[in-house]
Amino acid sequence: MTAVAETDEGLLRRYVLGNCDAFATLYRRHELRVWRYLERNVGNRASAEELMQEVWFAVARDAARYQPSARFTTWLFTIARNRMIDSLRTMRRLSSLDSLGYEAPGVLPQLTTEPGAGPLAAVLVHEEVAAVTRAVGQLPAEQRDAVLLQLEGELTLEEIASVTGSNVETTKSRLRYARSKLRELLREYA
Amino acid sequence: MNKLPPGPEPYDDADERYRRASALDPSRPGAAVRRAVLEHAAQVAAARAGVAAAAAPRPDERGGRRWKQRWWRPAAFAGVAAAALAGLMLAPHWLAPLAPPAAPVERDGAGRAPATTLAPGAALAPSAAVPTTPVPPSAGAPLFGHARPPAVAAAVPAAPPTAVAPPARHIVAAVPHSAAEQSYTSTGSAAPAERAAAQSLAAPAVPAERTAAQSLAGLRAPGGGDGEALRQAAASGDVAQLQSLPPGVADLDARDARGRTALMLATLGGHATSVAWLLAHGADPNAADADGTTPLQAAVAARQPEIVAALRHYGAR
Repeated sequence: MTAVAETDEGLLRRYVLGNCDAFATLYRRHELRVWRYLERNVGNRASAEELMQEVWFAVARDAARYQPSARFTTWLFTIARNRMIDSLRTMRRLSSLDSLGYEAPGVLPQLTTEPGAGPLAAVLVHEEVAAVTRAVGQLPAEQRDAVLLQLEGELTLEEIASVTGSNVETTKSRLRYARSKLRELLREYA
Repeated sequence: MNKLPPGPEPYDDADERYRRASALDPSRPGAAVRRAVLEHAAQVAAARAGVAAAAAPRPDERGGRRWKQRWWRPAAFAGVAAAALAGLMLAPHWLAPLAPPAAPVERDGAGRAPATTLAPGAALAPSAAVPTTPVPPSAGAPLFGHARPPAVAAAVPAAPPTAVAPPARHIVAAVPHSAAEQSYTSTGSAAPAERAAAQSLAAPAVPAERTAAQSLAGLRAPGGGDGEALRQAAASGDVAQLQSLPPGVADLDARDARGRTALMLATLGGHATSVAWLLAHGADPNAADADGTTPLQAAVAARQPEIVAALRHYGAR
């Protein structure tokens, strides 16, 4: 018999009632997904860390105002996206996500592989991750945003449309173009 | 021609490759970010709990508030009642005329009062005929007589008029108090004025200020002279009448039967303007009544700060 994991909404509710462990669980559960969404959108680790902090600060501060009518992940990635756009607008005084550009990641973080995998495996992992990161970075900003919301946030079409403020058809089109481009780029890096 | 979007490919190798690479991606936010986030979350939770605790009082606090609401009301009422009782005890001491404040009694050479005097009760019972026999003075001053506790009234020494050696400027009580005490119970054969007085004893207590003013009705005797008119004007706070009195005729410090001057009566009535007028025209600020109470003491007891200030300005002690 396996224990059923508590839902995100339940954890947030418990945090609002004063349980900080619930918030820590929530953070651990979504940390990497939010991190990859931010880092792969802005392409800059320092900016991503700053945004990461701002996003989770906002989650903690606004937890009491969260309405369970929407999934927690939808709410979380809405916050993340809004923070990201605000930050980039402030830094670059740009209004369109398409015009924000993308900073190609610099030196990839030091790779860690399973013990005993050997240096060759480490190199292969490094190359694979680097290829995917580069491919995502080369997508147009709005396509990148949409595909990251789907792959990292695991949001539905309707949720992505709601988060990005566009209609479902537009979102569907962005995702198709993004996936086609991604496949093409990954084939080149293969 | 626009390029058509690619067809739906919900899960293709690109997605799979992306997921595999993401799982291998060691990139993570720094430990400082995680620490800062969790610390901030704890602070927000603590602040939220503090606000909630402040907004919602604990049950014992609510009980405490109810308890406080319960206890202060009786305490306040008790305080007011105690003050009222003290006022009732003190006001007769200072204000109640033990003798009818009628016109000064003319005495013959033997010190006997004439047979006919003004019925003090006539002021409160205008229809009562003037009696042909002396009327107990306390019956004529029922407004204070009823407020005096019987024990206190009995303790007042009853002296015949001839036994009282009046001060040179005092009006002497003409009738012994014991007669008035008897009238409290012998209403059956009492004169109309006595019955009126007895009825007034059953009346509810009136405020000290009102009784002070009404007690002056007992002073209104025909042919009272300038001193009487002066005291009446001072007691009623009628500054216009004070100003209309012929200068130099009235003795500003003339006293009534209780030894009260116009200044004392104005003080007891709470008439600051009359007090100021009298003081400005030379009234003695330290003229005590028959009980030794000075105007300043009366003003302090009556909580009349304006009068207290005026009296002190003119050297009252």
